[in-house]
Amino acid sequence: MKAMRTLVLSTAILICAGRVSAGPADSAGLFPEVRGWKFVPPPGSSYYTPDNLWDIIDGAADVFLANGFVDLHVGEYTDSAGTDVRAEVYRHSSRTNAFGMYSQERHPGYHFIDIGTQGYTEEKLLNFLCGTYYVKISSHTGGPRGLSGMRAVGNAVESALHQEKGWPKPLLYFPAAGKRPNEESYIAENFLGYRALARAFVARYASGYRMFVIPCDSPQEVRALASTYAEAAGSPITGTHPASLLEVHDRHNGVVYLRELNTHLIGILGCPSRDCAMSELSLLEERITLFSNRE
Amino acid sequence: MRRFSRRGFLKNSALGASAALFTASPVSGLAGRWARQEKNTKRLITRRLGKTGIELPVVSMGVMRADNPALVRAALAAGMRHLDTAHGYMEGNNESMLGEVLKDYPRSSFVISTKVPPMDGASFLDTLDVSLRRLRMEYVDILYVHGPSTVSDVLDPAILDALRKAISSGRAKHVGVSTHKKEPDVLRWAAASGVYEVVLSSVNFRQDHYAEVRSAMAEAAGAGLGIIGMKTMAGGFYDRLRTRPINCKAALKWVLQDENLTTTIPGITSFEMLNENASVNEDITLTDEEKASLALAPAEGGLYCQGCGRCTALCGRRLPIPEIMRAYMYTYGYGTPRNARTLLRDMGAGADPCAGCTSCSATCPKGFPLRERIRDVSRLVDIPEEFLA
Repeated sequence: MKAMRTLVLSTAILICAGRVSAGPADSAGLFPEVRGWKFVPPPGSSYYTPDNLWDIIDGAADVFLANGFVDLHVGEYTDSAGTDVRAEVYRHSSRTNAFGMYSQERHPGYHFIDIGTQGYTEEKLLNFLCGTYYVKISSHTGGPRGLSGMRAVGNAVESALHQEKGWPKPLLYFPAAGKRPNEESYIAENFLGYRALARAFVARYASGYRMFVIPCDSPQEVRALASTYAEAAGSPITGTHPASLLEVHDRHNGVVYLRELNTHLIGILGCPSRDCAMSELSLLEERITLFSNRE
Repeated sequence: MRRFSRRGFLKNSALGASAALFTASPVSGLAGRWARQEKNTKRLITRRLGKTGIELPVVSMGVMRADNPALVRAALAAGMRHLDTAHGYMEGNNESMLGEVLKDYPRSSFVISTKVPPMDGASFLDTLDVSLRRLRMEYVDILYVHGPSTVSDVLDPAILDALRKAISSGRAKHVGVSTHKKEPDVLRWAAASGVYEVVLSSVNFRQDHYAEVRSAMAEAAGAGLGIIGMKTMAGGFYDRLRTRPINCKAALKWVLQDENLTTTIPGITSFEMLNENASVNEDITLTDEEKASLALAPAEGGLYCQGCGRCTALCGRRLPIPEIMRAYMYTYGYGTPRNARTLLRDMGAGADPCAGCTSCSATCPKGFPLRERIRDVSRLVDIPEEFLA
């Protein structure tokens, strides 16, 4: 007992000196028992951080890191028939970042299912978004057996994560009419290819245009963002900012219309005319105002 | 990497819905831009990719993170010819985006590579077919086996046979292997294979074993292999929180001082980044300031173990010291002792792996005090959960 006390005390000192804080949940907590399945630690490491994510997903790691990747736990299950299921649980720093990563890999042609906030199946894989987690389930076993196994493991992992369902709020701002389903995205860095533009929520519309919302902390930040972007795009704003609509002739992306809306920079590109842009952005503005008033 | 094919994706959507994801160029005058690209190419520094005979500017585009078609067009307009992607990037959306963009360009105007993870031969070729359909191409210029790091994977007869079939069937012009682990070994295995023509290797100024990598690159180049560099920016930041950026332009120039490296594929996601990298295509001379910025780098590596494994070879008990050093970094660098404990428990390390050993022979090329660090961090194995909360 004395030895244990000494060990704990010395480690407490060690930890304090090392500025240690709480870490993630243990792997065992993320991979619960699943009836009819046996949990198997994967060959190699079962835990990855930003430093070694490359070891498991190679160059794809960059996108995860840009989207606030925190860590990854890996677990595998087998059943008596030899079906294998692998679960990769990616934790991100926020729900928005998890959605950002999920949206980068989502494709509207997939078969969407009710799991987590949203999920989909494809041949031998099942991916879903769940709060701050992006979960990727896969199996070498095809057909109904593999799918059934992935669903069982996916549901169990979802329960173990204890996350609230729901999309990042800015996605609700986009007008529903004409919006292409399952094509919304969140771009954490370099939206439209510019360093100045980050944290953009984007929706695509059947008419071919894209609308975006960039939440900011203050109207001053919104104004500065618009100016910096316009200058980088080769279309600097001269004089005062127009109150209604700012027209940026982006040398790479075409004409981009912007509106400064209190703490949001909103915009549209791919729109055939200024009138069209005005009309669509007004609808977006109405919804942002509506949601803001509800808070 | 996932090790199975994605045929279902293809059935559903590769050509149809994916095309809808990426809008056509909003900027007109493609032919004009192409003409400018030809003009630009004349003043760029180029090198030959081994026996493939392909001539490339020294800086190319890693597309893995780019989701903006305008960025790819701008890279081509800036004179870059080589675009690198992989089957798995963005679950296929990356290849689909490239296919949508490149359909407007003459096929001979760009050199595209993709990567397929190791798997059985038939699945490997099926997976390549999915990639080709996403890319809307009859062939890729370079087909890599994605990321093998053991001799059995690099020289797997089934994979080598699949690569030969990819060439004989016209689906790939050249074949290679990509690696970011055991680079010197992979370069040598590839050279000995008689099949691989290109190696895509990690190479950067922070590699402790850079001298070995450089030596192996020289041998491989001597054997006719073309060598392309990746991870040249060493992650882009010195720290995990990405607050201390590396001078990426300097890092890029630094690796290009070795002429055995034909080209590099830095990931490009912004026009600013593109302009900076494209400027290196015209001048790879390191300024004094750039040299100084890289010289500061060794001081940043106090906790980061690069996993060379020399310590384990010297350790009488063959302890997995690189993994234990990683656990040490989690604890003292990142403040996540639970992560460290998970790692230690996963590897089966006890609370005092060195107990009873009186003649430590393990040493670290970076000078880490191994025994001390092993002793300090291994104690976490026995710490009750509540003390780490």
